[in-house]
Amino acid sequence: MALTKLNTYSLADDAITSAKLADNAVVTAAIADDAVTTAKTTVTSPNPNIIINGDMAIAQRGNIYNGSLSSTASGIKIVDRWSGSWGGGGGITQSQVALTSGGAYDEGHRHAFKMAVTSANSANARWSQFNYKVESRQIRNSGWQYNSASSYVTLSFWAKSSLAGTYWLSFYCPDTNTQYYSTSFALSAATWTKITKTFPGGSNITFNDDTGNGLQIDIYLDYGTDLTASDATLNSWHTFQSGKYMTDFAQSWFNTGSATFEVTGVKLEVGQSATTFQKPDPAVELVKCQRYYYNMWSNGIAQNLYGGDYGSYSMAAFHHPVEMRATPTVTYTTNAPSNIATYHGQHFTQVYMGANAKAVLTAAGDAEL
Amino acid sequence: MKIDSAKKVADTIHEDVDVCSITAVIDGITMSVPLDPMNRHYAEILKQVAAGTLTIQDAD
Repeated sequence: MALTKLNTYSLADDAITSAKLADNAVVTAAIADDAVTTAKTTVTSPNPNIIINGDMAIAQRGNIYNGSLSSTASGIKIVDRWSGSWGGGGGITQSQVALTSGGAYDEGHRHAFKMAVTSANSANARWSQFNYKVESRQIRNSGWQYNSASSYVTLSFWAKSSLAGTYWLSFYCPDTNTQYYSTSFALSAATWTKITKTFPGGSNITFNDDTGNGLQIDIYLDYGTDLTASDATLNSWHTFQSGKYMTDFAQSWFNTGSATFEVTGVKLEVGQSATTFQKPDPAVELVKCQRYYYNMWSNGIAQNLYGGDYGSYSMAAFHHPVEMRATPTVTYTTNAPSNIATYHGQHFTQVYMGANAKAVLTAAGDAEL
Repeated sequence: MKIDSAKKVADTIHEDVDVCSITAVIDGITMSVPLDPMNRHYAEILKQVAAGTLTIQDAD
């Protein structure tokens, strides 16, 4: 008798492998309710990113100081929340650059923060680095049990240097006990590389319950021997010691003419492994950035402030887009009158000018760490 | 942070306050700095004053 039908009881467990199932062979309607349990559908969701503007996409300052997306000045000058810093001589240009290929591009990143040597520097006191500061309260409330050696945060990012070698990065916690942790990473020349580093908690770490600098992340491109030491403590938390940031660099990026270094896709998350970098909503990310800095020239549209005439003085007021981290420094970017008095607040600023001044001006607020 | 100059700005609105802000030239740019220790520019001004490398000029 020919076999024409099989029921499920005729099949041994595991008799039908996934390879034996044609695509679309099992339709949703054929699956009984509750047949697929949670254990069969494990999906790892990405952790939130503590870093703001980790994809380097927002550069509000880009058009306000020098009309371009690059600056030859050290500090937070171009990319929001990120400082390109150097010293001890020499010259560097920092800029926001577009990506068109490479590993970082393939992960979805379209911008990077770049530093490029314009004047080489061989001084023993030379230094150059990318820098990001996390508010104390933010890292304190992140969920990281930072006083436990079995609780971790993970830092991941893409990096590319024109000069192959071993570079360094560190966590610095300036509150109370000034705890410091440095570790190295290797790069091949001109190749985007994904770096992942996991940091345990440390018993002496403190984070104040305030909006000050709680955790400073530095990615070091080059430090001269005045700042390095053969007996520097590596890969563990310890009290910060000036002059012992790390052991000597094997190569000198800052003393290499036209050397470049790019970074993007920076993510800091609670946990012992790196999860996917989710591209942030640009509107939400801009508002996060504006807690630290904003200017009225965003998108090239100036918003003029007209001083109202009150007889003995003229007054203008403007609200900040969001409550700022601290009371901001205000810079008047056009037509600032000389006889101006500014009354600062975290939510808004009032400007008093001379009688009948009726000044036309735009402004930028800076409450960066 | 290079601070070229710092000058107090008189508060002409409030009777019980003498100074409302500081006008400073920082990294070549003129800025109005609030009297807030959590502001990095004001913190740096205080640091340089304490170190004796900067003097805040009185208001006009």
